[in-house]
Amino acid sequence: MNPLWIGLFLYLGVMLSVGIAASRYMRSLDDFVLGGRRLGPWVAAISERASGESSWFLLGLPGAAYGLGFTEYWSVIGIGFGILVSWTFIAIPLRRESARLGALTLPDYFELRFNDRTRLLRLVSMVVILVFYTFYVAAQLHGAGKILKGTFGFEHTTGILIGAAVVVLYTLLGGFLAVAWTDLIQGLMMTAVAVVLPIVGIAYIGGFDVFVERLSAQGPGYLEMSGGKVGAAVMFGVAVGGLSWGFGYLGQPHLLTRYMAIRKTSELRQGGLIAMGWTLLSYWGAPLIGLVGLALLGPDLADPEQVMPLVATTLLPGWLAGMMIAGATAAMMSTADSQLIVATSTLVEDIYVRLFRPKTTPSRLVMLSRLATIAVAAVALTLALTAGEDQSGGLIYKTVAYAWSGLGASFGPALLLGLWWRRTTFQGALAGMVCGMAATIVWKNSAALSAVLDMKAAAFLISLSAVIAVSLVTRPSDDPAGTGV
Amino acid sequence: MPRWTILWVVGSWIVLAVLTLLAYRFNRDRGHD
Repeated sequence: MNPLWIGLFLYLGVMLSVGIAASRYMRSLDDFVLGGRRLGPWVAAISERASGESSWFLLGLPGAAYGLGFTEYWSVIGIGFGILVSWTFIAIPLRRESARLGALTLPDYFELRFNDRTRLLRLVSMVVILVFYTFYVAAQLHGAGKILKGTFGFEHTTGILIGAAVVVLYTLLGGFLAVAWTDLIQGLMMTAVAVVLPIVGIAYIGGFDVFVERLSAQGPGYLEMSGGKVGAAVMFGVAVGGLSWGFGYLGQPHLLTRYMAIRKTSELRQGGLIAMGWTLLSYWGAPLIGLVGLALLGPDLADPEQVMPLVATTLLPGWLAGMMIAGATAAMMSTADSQLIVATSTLVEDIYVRLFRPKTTPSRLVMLSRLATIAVAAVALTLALTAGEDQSGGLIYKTVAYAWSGLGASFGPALLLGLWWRRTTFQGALAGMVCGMAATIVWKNSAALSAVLDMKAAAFLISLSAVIAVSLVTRPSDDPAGTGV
Repeated sequence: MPRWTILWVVGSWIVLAVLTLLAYRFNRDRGHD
């Protein structure tokens, strides 16, 4: 038996066991969607980090660094700040307010915070979540396809189908608790990969100096933060494009639910410290995996996003490479499962329960949630399968950028200002969501606009301006919910 | 290795670590249920 399989099978077996164990604790919709708000700080924090970092972290980002060099560290710096701002300014007020208002989901929170009787905030939130998460989950399934193809030579579609089957199975079994607990294991595995692989790689190459020499031989731009680009305006564009990844953290429902699910508000302070510790420990290494790949394998990989599995199999004995590749699978699964839960909660809690107010039993809602999970996964699977194989070599990176920008720009400004600025109005929040979503879609389809300003930055700033401007010209509601300040 | 690259990457990590500790202090009195 191929020793690579042992590591991978071991990992998949553990994930399914956790799903089965967690299923015993699940009796209501609250349990399925938020784990009954009983996560401790370690599980909440590492789970938030593991869900926040998807296939993008161990496939997309190393792939981009492989192609561009150290300039990809702009993204890493932006991400560090995004995570810090989110844990510092959103986590605590959101947990407190959502519990006080009885909000299970982000659309719930918006509706209750702005006392929205028109249901428009809920409807727009639902559209944003369902549209962008379908792309996001599809990107994760592509991740599974790439990992299994790069490692075992599977057909791309077979890899996608296997990845989808395992994620859906344990999400169905255990709901939010299974997802949060598997995230903890997956988050720790991701750190191990991001720390071990670059260190082993640089040692294997012959030390840091030889590593730098080899990169320099590929072209001087690989070692520069400017990416070898000349001119202040161009460099500004490179820096903003990278740093603007940070904006997205403020509006990702699958991360925000981690704040809402923690046992006590006070534990979020500790959670923030743990999450930032994870970030500082793990994030420096992910782009280095791509750079080690460039120094080790040369610049001619057909698909740069397969650089991480290739580096692992080149450097490590089979069983250990299998564990590392399981780490990349972990990155993909920990995100896809959390997103399936959010999309499920949108369909069941936000649409069915809140809009139709059915007379039904908790166990029936859990069953409906499971059906909704299958439905969302089926749509994402169709999207992934019809997209075909990656022609450009940056499919995960680009698809995630699109979904990330859409969610961050639609929800981030409305949420941040809703929590901290009493003057934010229902109309302002609605304008911010619509403008954030529209700007992302317009920017995505316009090369000319993207050349002026990066999509992630542009969409966020447009949405932020819309919330402020519209709030200032409209009258605040009677504001029964108040703000989190 | 260009000095600016090292300075940016290492410097930003130090800044982030310091800000993390400041954030922990900032939320000292805010985290009560």
